[in-house]
Amino acid sequence: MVMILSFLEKKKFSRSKKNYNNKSFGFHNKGDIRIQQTAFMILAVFFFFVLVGLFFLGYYSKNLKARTHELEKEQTIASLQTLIDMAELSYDATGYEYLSLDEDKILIMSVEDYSTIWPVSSIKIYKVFPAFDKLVKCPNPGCNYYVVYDSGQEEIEEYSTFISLCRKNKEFGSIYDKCEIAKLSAGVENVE
Amino acid sequence: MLNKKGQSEMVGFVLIVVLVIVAIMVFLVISIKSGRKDVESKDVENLLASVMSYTTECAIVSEPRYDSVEDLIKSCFDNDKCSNLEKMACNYLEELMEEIMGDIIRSEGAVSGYKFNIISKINDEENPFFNLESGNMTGVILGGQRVVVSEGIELIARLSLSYD
Repeated sequence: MVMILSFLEKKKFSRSKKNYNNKSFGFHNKGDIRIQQTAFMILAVFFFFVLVGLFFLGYYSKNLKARTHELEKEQTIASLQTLIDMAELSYDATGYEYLSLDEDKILIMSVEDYSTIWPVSSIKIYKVFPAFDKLVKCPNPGCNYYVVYDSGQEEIEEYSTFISLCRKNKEFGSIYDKCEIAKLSAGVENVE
Repeated sequence: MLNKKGQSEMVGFVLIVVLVIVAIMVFLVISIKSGRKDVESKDVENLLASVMSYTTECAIVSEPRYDSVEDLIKSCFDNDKCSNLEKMACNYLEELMEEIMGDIIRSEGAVSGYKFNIISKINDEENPFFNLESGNMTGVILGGQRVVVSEGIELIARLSLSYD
């Protein structure tokens, strides 16, 4: 600590006996060398703290970038909720109010042209579980993805979130709700 | 004399460097330890919600009254049996969750591991009764949870995904 203080304390430089003409800047006396030493040390300390500052700045900006990306994603998912809640897509059954889409409605929407009602550039739904080996577009036997709407625009950015894809099924003479795990992907025009 | 003064300055500088490096190390250790905590994610929450709604093949009473994963959790907690599969609800829940999460990890390239656990909360006392973990949980961990109520008892299902 004493050494740090001695390093940081201001020093008195003896220059009284030196005549400062052009020749005197050759650092020949002790005072000049002391000035040079101190200047180098101050520079070294300054650059060291700049490096430390850059390290902290880099660390926090990295975290900030990750958090910003996550927040942007969450905002997009929240806006996808508007799409999920549309009566044209949502599944109406008790206990399935949250994030549930009606597969029968989606089937009709993907066959008929309802392009004027959608607030986005594309809407696609992919089944995630049960898993599949290759993509088969619906309506086809063993299909696993629906294209509800595609404007045909090329410069679009797709955002997706997990949803439940539900339908009424009939087995043993009874009707029940059958839900699968799927992903809703909505494309929005890329403004960048 | 001049050399000695120069040396003492160097030692002072080295001491400053050492102190700052020690401070950085302490900061890094603390931030890495606190970084292990799950960050709540809407995406994981939605995944958990869609998993909860998934219709299973387990019928406790009779077919086709199949349980959703949410119902299956309640059946597991009540120690029920899937009458059509001749399996205990908990065993089937474990098999099914392994299958679902395995497929999701394969479809989501960035996910390296997952942790799924259920805690029952009775009179503010938390007791874990179901735990499933697979893959590496070394990346950024995002999580979400859902509360299921079974006969007045809160069952908290939590899903954590590790992203590389």
